[in-house]
Amino acid sequence: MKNEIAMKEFTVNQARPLPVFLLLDASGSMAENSKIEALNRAVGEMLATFATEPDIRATIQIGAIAFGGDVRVHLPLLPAEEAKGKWRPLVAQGNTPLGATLTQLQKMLEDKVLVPSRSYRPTLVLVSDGQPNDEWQLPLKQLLESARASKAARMAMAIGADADVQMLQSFLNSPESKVFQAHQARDIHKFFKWVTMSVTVRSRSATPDKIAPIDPLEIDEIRY
Amino acid sequence: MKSVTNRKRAAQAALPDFFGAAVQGPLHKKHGRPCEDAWTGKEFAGSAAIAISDGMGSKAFAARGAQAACLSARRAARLWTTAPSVGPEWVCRWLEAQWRFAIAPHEPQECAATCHLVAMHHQAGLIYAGLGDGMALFQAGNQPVHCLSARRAGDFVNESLALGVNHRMTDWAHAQLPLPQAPWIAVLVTDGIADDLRPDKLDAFVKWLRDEISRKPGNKRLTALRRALREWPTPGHLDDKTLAVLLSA
Repeated sequence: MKNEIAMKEFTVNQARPLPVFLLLDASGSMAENSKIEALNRAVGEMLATFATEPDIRATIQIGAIAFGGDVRVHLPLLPAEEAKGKWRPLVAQGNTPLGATLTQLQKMLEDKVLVPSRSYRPTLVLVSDGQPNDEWQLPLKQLLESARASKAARMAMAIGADADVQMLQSFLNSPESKVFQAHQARDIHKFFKWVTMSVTVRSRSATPDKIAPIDPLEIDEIRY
Repeated sequence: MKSVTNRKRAAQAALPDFFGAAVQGPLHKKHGRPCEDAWTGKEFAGSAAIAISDGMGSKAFAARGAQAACLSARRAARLWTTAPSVGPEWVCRWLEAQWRFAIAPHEPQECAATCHLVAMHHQAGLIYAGLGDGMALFQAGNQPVHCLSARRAGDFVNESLALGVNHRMTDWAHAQLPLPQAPWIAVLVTDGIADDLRPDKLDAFVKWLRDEISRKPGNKRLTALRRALREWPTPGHLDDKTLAVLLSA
């Protein structure tokens, strides 16, 4: 008993974190065709699912950076249950400053207090419906060449016909990885179900650091 | 001749104590795989050494690699004690070559394993050498605990440099310290332990080893340590856990 008390004093009392960073386009064009409402609903449902996940192997943590007019940490990186309570719907406004968003993400990823070394490899999710209107190539190169981001699992969704699919493709881990293309509001929901499944599969796994790719086009075959 | 004998006796009397344990983690237990960590402790004339190793789980002969790493560390430490003016960077080179022979006929990639070593010589002091995940701690008297090991900037869980993984000799972390006045303690732990230790509580961890565990007599010390590692309190822990301690008598 004495040992148990002593050990609890110097050990971390939380399972290893599995961080998920959402980079969410909240530019003015997202207000068209109820895209922003669909995005808000889908993220809300994902957070609700994560919040009910038992943290036996890993504690799922969620953070969101919104880019629309300016870049802001819309949701600080928090355990899923807390994140669910803090989530507020995005409001669509302004242009698409992707470069600054990627720089903000890299800053957060490299913060060892925010993302300690004991974490499992993070998942990075990029969602956009348009063309970036700032310099994004260099920030993306710097992000992908950084030690931490290069090891992360990366997923991307293009919303609508105006999205820069090539830019989103360059965010992914390999040319074989596919950008999920959402043509309708319900596709946004489908994408976040895919993200949810990819993360929960890892958090329940005996080896949460192994990232097994799941084809987003096979999402219809998934049963919960 | 008499004075030599006395010096030898004096050196023997000053020899430190050592202990350690390696226990199987829940993941290997679930998959029916053995503990793929190893540790060793050895005393030589007027000197002593401890080493730990964590075999990389995805490799077929990880356990063999870890055992070979500890054996090679022991041999390298012994050689160093015969010429302690040689710096720890040469101990790393010797250890690498020893390991390559010790794992034969297997390929290095199949046996990848981390390695951390602390050796003490009664005149030359203390050296540390380490490659890959894991942690080396040192405390002299009541001074704050000092971390001797280094960690790469980008590491997440299970991302490690190791013997059998491409690396440069400059990837080895090493240090050399003059032997302080007793009491002192050096602790090596694999990442199964290091990743779950609170950075602000390393002093409490070392104090627990020094005051609670090391003072238990004989087998009770080993039993208590093994039990503590098996009953590790961090939720969701998976890895094998290995720890070795070298402390002044």
